[in-house]
Amino acid sequence: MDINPDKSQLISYLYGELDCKTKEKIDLKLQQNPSLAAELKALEQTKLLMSELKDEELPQPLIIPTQAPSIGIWQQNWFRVAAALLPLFVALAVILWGNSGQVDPKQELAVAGQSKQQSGLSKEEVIQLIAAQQSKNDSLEIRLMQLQQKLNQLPRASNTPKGPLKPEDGELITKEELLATLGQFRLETNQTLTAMLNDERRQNQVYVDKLLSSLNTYYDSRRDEDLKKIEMALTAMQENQQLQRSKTDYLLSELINNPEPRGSNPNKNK
Amino acid sequence: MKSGTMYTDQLIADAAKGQQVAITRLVQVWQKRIYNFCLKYFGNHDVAMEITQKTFITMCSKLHTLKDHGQFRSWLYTIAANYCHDEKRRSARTTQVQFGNASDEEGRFYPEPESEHHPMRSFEQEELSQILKKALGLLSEEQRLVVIMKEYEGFKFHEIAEVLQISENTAKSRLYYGLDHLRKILNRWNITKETLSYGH
Repeated sequence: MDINPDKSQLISYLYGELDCKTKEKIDLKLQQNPSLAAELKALEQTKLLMSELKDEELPQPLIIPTQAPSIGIWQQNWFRVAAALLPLFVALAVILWGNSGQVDPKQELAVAGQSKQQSGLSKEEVIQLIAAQQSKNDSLEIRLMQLQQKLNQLPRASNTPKGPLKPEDGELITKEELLATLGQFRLETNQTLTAMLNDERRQNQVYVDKLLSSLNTYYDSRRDEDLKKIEMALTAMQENQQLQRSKTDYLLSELINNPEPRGSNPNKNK
Repeated sequence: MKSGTMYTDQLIADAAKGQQVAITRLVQVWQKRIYNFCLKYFGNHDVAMEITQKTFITMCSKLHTLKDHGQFRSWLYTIAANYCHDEKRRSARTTQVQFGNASDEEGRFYPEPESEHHPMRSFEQEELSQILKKALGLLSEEQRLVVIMKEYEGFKFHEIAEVLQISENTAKSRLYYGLDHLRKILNRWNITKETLSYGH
């Protein structure tokens, strides 16, 4: 949308954004051109009317999360999904163990076993841990399948249904050991979660404390300002009252000293 | 004035470093302005609050990218204006933003059904604000933004041009036609200087 130079200058003139030279030129134009002057007046009046639209106070103060980690880690969707999947991983491990009767003791199912310092975990780190855990679970499954195949290939495999199996690396694991590992894993997970929740609670407490102290400061300053305004208004009212009183005194003294109203002709009633 | 600017610069610098108290203070200083900017744009408290919230969340996360702290105001309003634009587009896909149902597309104003008196006879501030908000709402999005930024936020033309990424001349043009449109609307509704002073 284009605008002719007159209108462009007129709008700048209206808002006082012209240099002195151009302003003088416009002043001259306005004197010579009544329609331009009328246009300016109309714009001024509209501006004046629109200035009646006052600012409104915020109905409630904004709560801005100023630090990303201050959002509870357990409140985030990815964490909820991970937490929901956790029992599934455990169940999967138990099922696999039930099918094969043996798992690799080197494999771990827990996120907890990998990260002792949970309080500093970021979103990416936890996602990485979950991904790593998933890949471990996958490899565990593959390993079990391989073992199963090898066992099937053994000629005496069908004759040894009981007792621990012997995987490739020669390490043995019993059902009790696996259960103990899972129990340990569960314990560590619980401890980790508790630590994380406590840490988040502490962070939130600090944040809320700071927010409250800021709000207090803000409202204190507002109250001081309001008090000053009230004091100023009171002073102005007192001064005004004093002025009115002196005016009244003056008028009364005038009336007392000159009982005849001004301009009245004393000879009129005669 | 200088000390005020220095204070603001320091506040922005501290906030950019992630100091929570500085961020909170910065939000306190600017929240009313941004809220009113959005409120005048949308005429709706809930949407205005939402956009204000989004603006400050973005401010918090992106403040460290602001090189020149002197540009903070323009930068902040750019964020707000972008969110306003996005929200407008989004709501246009679903439903039109309403500035009340008392005016039609041609700008004719109808009194509220429960109100028996014509607006020109009732100039309580609240009612007047509603009428002026409705008038603003009848402007095109482009004109409305410029009118709000100039009339209520006190931007210079070159600043408006910078925030909206338009030329200075376009900003002036939009303001001129915006005010002209407002004049016609207010005339149609018999809102004049005289009717305003009637209530006072």
